[in-house]
Amino acid sequence: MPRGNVDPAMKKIVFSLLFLVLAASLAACGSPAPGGPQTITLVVTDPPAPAEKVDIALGAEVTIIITTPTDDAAHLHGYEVEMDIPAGVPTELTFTATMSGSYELESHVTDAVWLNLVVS
Amino acid sequence: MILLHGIASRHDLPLPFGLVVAAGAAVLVITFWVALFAWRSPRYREEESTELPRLTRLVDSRGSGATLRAVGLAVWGLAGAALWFGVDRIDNPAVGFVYVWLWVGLVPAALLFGQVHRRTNPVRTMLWFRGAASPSHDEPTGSLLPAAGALAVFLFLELVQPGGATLPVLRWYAAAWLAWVVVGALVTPTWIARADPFEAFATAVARMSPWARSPRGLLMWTDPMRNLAAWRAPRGLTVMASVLLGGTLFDALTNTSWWVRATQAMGDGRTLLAAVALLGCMALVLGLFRLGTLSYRGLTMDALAPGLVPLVVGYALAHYGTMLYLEGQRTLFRFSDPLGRGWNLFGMIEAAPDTTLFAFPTLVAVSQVVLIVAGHALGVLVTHDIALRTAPSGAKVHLPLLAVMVVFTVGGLLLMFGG
Repeated sequence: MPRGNVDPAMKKIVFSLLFLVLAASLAACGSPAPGGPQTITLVVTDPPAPAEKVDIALGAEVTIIITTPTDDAAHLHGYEVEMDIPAGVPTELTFTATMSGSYELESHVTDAVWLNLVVS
Repeated sequence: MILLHGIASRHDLPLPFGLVVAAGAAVLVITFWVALFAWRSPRYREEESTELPRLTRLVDSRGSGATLRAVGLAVWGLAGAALWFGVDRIDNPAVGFVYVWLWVGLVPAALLFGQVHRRTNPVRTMLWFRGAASPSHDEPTGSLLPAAGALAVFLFLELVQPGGATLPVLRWYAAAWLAWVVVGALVTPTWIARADPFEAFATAVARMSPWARSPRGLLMWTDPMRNLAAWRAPRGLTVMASVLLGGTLFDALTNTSWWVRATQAMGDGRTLLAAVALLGCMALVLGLFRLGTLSYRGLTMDALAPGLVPLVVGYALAHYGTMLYLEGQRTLFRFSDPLGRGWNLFGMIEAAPDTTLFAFPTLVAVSQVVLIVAGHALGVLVTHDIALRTAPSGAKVHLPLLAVMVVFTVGGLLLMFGG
């Protein structure tokens, strides 16, 4: 049985895959241009409202101004930003959205998910 | 799923629609072109390649073996110490060790280096006096069903068990795993290969690596497809592969907003429902594969099951690859302070993970699609090659299995699109 060299059948498959990749990357181009600063205001209620989805441009400087009814601690997953939030005081959590993906902003006191940040 | 979100701290973006359509079309074209035109006779019946005696001597030398065992024992030992004596926080490296390094990492490790897991498996090292530390190069004899069951339990722990990322729960499961593998190994010598979920999984994936053994036991550098197709698959491989694919299906399903909304207010009933859904996903994969293989009279399901391994690998890498990249680094850094006492054993406690990859979401999405489509293409080629050994090359007999493989892949793509 011949072996050692790539047989033509395999070659064709590899080429079709390559073509797919090219076509796909062309189709997927045009992601949002790196945005400027982006500010989100979050007022947490008791009990907290269901987590909302917030779209963020990749590369943006993001400020989230959080107000909570009781002393709390915010935790932005993935970016691993943590911040204590005194009750009733609007507190700024800032980060640069350098990583794409979806990330949860949650309370480390009640474990409630406050926001779903979608960076793309 | 929410239970593990401490460790899976981020999710990849849903796949763009255009990519999913392109991939679906490619899957159809590749599949039917292979079946109808390209593959008319089996090509990969036997393992054959050039033997590499010098490399074999080096790899099989006492020194290499002892080094691998020592490194394996050291890493597992450190993770075990963190599990038993560490602090119950998400930054305990034991959590990342189990869910990222071991569970996800074993796939690329086996793909690149072949049968390396059995040479670092700490249970084998501990049972050296039973001869477990020098496993034969032959494939496990006997059914893989014990490993399939253990994998189902692990997937329950990962995806359903409340508190699955907390130390008290992990300790129970770790103790159960150790007892399961050690007690069985003391009774039956071949038990570890058939029942240790991680070793059985790694052994199957290693059949897709470019490393094989000749009948004389010498290492060969070979075509991964031939390596997989020439595997005389053990009994129970179908069930084991269905458990793994079903777990991935369930994971993707529970990440959809539809599932989250439907189960949000369910309370305790949610665990039971999720457990039933997890089993249902596994049964669904098994049932579909059974349907697809009915038309082959001379072949068992297990004989064809090596073709499911590339699907498992493609999804594992597409689904968990970015988690391995990010949390794998974090786990490494956390090993500098395994017990949570402010140590800095390896000087990495302040290190920040590299996140360059996430600046390129299009690259991530395209890679995910390519992995899934490539897994599908390899899976179809391997099953088709095996099927041709007994069945004629006419299209009709092969259609059910090809259709099922297409369903698996398109279903997987749609789930990752629905994120």
